[in-house]
Amino acid sequence: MNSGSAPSVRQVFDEHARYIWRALRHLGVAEAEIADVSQEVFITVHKKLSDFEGRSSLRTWLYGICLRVSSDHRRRAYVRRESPAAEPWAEGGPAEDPGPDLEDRATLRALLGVLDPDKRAVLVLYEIEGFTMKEVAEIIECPLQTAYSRLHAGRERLLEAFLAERGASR
Amino acid sequence: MSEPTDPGRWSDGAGAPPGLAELLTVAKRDVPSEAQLSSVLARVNAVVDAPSPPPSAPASARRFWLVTSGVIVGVGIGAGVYLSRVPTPTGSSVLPSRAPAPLLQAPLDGPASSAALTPPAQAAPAMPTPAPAPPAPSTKKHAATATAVANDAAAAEALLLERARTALASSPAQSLALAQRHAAEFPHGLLVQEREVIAISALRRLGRTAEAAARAARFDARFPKSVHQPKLAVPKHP
Repeated sequence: MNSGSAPSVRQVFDEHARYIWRALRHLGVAEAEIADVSQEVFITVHKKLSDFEGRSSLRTWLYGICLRVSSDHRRRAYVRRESPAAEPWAEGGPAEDPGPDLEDRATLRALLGVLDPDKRAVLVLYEIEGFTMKEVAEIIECPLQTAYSRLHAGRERLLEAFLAERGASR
Repeated sequence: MSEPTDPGRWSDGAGAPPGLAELLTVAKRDVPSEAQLSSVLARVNAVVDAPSPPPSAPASARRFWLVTSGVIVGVGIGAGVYLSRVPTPTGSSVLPSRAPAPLLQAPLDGPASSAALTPPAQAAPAMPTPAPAPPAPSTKKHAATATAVANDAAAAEALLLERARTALASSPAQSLALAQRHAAEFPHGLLVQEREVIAISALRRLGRTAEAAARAARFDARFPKSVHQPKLAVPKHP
C-alpha cells in the first residue's frame, strides 16, 4: 500500500480480502456465511475508509472491523438460536478448496471452537494472522497485559483440546 | 515481526507440542479460492454501486409499483425495462445496462479513490429500484431490494465465470465460450476484468496467441492499473 495516498476499497480488498476470509474462518464464522460476513466487512470499510486517520496501520484497523463484524454476526446468530460455527467445514459452503490440508484445517477449526471468543480472537490474531501482541491488544481494544493473559489461557485450552483429540483418535 | 517481549509463536514451532504447530502452520494457508473472492468482490461492488434513492423516492417508488402492476403505462422507460428484467428466472440479464462499476474500472491509484466509489447521484443513468409496496416505502427497504437484486446478478456472474475458470484447464474452448457468454449477458458486469483474464488465458491455451496478445493489449489499455496485470505479463507478440 502506498503511503501518503488513501487506498481505494478495491486496493484494500485486493491486498487483504483473502486474509480477512482466513481470519473469519478461524474466528468461527460458518463456511457458508463467510462470504456474507466478508461482504459486510468491506461494506463497512467502504463507509469508513474516508475516516481512517492512519493512527493505526491499515491492517490493524481492518482487522478491528473484521473482529467487530464477526462478533455482531455471532450475536445475531445467537439471537436466531443458530450455532454460528457448527461444523463449519461440513456445511458445503461455496467451493472451499479441498487441497491436501483439508483434514488438518478442519481439525484446527474444531479445536479453536473450544475457546471462548475473546481468547480465540487473541490466539488467531497472534498465531495465524501474525500480529504482534501490541497490535493484537490494539485490535481487540484491551490492555496489553489482558491480551497476554488471554493468549496464555487460550493456548492452555487449545493444548488441552488438542491432547484430548489426539488421545481420542488413537 | 514480534515485539521483544512477545512469546515465541506456536505456529513457528516455538514451544508448541508436536502436531499442533503443524496445524497452526496449515491454518496460515487456509485462504479462499479465487472464485470465492471474486464472488465477494462482485457483491461488494453491487452494494457500493447501488444508487441512492432519489429525493422523491416515495413518488418514484409508487410509479414503479404501478408499472409492474400494469395499471399505468408510460412511466419512465428505464423503470419498465428494469422491472421487466427482474423476474428473469435464469439469472441472466438481471442487471440493467448501467454505468461501469467504479470499483473495478476506476484507476486503482486514483486520487480520492474512496470518493470514486460513490456513484454520482446526478450523472448516473437511471437505475430505478423496485419497491415492494407502494405507500411510502422506507429508504432501507428500497436499498435492501436493490441490493438483493444486484446480489442475484452478481452471483449469476460469479457462477458463470467460475464455470469458465474451472473449464480452463480441461477445455479452453469451452472456457472461452463461457467467457464470451458472460460478455454477452453482462456487458457492463462487475467482473469484466476477471472475464478478460480467463478469455486471454483460454486463447493462449488454444494456441491463438495473436488474438490473446491483441486482447491483452486491449485489457492493458482499458485497465492499466489492474491487479491482474501480472497474470497477463507475457510477450505481447507471438
